[in-house]
Amino acid sequence: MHIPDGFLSVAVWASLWVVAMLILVVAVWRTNKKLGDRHVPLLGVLAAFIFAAQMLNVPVAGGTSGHMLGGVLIAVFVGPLAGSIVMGSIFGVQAIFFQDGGITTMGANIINMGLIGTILGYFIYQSVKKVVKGDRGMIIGAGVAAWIAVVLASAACAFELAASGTSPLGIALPAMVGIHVIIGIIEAAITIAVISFVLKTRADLLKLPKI
Amino acid sequence: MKAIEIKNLHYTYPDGTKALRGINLDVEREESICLIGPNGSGKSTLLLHLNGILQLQRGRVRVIGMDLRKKTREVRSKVGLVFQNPDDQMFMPTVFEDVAFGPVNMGLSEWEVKRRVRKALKAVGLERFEHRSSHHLSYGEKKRVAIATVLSMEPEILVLDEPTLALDPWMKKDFMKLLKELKKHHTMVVAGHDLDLMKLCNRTYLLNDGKIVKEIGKKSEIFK
Amino acid sequence: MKHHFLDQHSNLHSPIHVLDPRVKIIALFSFLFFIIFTPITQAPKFAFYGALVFSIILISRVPLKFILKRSSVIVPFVLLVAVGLPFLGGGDAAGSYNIGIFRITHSALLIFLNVLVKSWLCVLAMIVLTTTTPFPKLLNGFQRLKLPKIFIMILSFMYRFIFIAIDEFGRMRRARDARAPSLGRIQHVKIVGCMIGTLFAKSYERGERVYTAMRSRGFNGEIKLTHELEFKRSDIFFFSSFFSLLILILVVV
Repeated sequence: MHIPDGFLSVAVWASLWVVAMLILVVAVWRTNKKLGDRHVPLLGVLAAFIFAAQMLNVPVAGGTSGHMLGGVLIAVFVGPLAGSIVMGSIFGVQAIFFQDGGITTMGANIINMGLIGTILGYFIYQSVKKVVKGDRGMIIGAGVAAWIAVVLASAACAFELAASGTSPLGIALPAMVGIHVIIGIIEAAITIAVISFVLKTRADLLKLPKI
Repeated sequence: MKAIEIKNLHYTYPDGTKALRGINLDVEREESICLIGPNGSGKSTLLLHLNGILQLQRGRVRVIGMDLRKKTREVRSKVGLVFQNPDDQMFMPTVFEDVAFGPVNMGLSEWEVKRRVRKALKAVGLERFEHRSSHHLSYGEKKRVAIATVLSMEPEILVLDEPTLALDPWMKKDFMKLLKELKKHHTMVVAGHDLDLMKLCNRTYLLNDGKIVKEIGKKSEIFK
Repeated sequence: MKHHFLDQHSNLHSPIHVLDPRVKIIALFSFLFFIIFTPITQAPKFAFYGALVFSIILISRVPLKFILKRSSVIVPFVLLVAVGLPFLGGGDAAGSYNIGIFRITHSALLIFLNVLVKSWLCVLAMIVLTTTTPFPKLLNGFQRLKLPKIFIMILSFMYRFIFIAIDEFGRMRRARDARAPSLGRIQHVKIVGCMIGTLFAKSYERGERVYTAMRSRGFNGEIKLTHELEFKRSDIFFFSSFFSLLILILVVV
């Protein structure tokens, strides 16, 4: 889902860059205020952690495999804004060093695969937790949020391509969303597995301050 | 003036664990002492105090005559703390940036930083390692760079937590040689279970349950 | 353990490798902008852009095969656009092509060429940058180009600890394979969950310990960084000739 350079029109990529940077700047400012200088090493180490976690593949049907994005997971652990910084750093590095996604399209990719998960996903997670209480609410909320975040990310990607006149919405949307309805299940399954494991072994880590 | 004076030091962690219960310890300049004791006896907590990392709760710590409570910044530049795991101590991408981290924070000039980095790397036997990536080093090399990262701050006191842990016998032999060399110019406080470390030091103290239980003169006494 | 997946080939020696990272970053970004803003109808310009990238690749001595293989990351998106082509472009029937049962208009074809050519050239240029510049140098470059220090610091930590995280996953995976070589899908997900959860706990604790190590070396919240960059004559030469060529392509071709 990493959009390369050249696939989005100037108006689309430039505005998404601005939006992504604004959110990240606010996130850095708020994290700085709440955590003080302690957050610098923590966010760096956690970015490395999500980066490595994205390299673990899980087999899907037909010999293909998928991995997690981790936006919802990191937001559940450290909160939406700290999570956004982590995801922003990851997609920045992936674009520059792995050519996974372009430079002009980096804003779009950070929003699609990162911020939708960390901010919107976290909001969904919180809402579910209000309805379903206790540990079950945490697990279900994270799972639902993870699935929705992936599907929304693919839909956002399709809309951006359509708005750029690169691919008609009637084709891009069903193609992207169709695949990601399934990929989202993997994201949800891994997110649920991680959170249930941490609940059993180190529940204190789910009570960290959220930023 | 003594290098380190500790009077009646107590420390309780936020979770309620009483880690130190009244430590009294004096270390003369140019002296080296070894702290031994089971896991959880308070060794690491004590070491973290020497550098002002843990906030003083009760008691008094003076380093080279300076009160830790008042002069934390100065104390930090006089006491070099070397952690157990070098991967925690080397957090920058290259060896140069890691060894330069302390001096740069001290506000030294660019030229002085470079001089100190070269000198510190030379002292641990890793000349021309400046441009290496930290993650490409062997474990033994990392251990040495970890020491260089504090040597570059030119401390008077070196504090080492379990310096010989996880070294194989060959690496350890070289590493002990390095410690012996460093001992000549630094006051040293070492924590560890290692008999060779005790041999290296002037005095050894046995810690248990947050207190210094006894001073051990000769290593044979520990087995009594 | 040694890792080369991140900045492979970046320690070779070539005139491109020794360039100051700042020069390379500015050159790359300008190149991307030139490509993105040039209309696809000016085909000869793109031929020259391509020639420029490939001559730099040749000078850099990075294996061409490696770069071409790496550039295939754009393929899925190119396919996605290709699938949509018959439905794009509206009524321009006069300049349309028939491929099987599909009719593709001239303007749709231009859209396809637009994304294919531009994304490929951009991705090639990006690959040249990362295969000729080690990560720490690149960070030094971004730092000197005034990227906020907090990002530089986070990215430095990230780079440093990615390798440790991957090693830890590797150890856990070997331990898993030793005890349970083949697993069902659900079991597999569960174990990946345990591995990720364990690594999160370890990473969090490491973050705390690193913070302690930083403080003990005088860190008090203000990020001060070092760099070892100096412009050389070759940097100025590359910089001026690269931009002269870009402007020449823009004006003359």
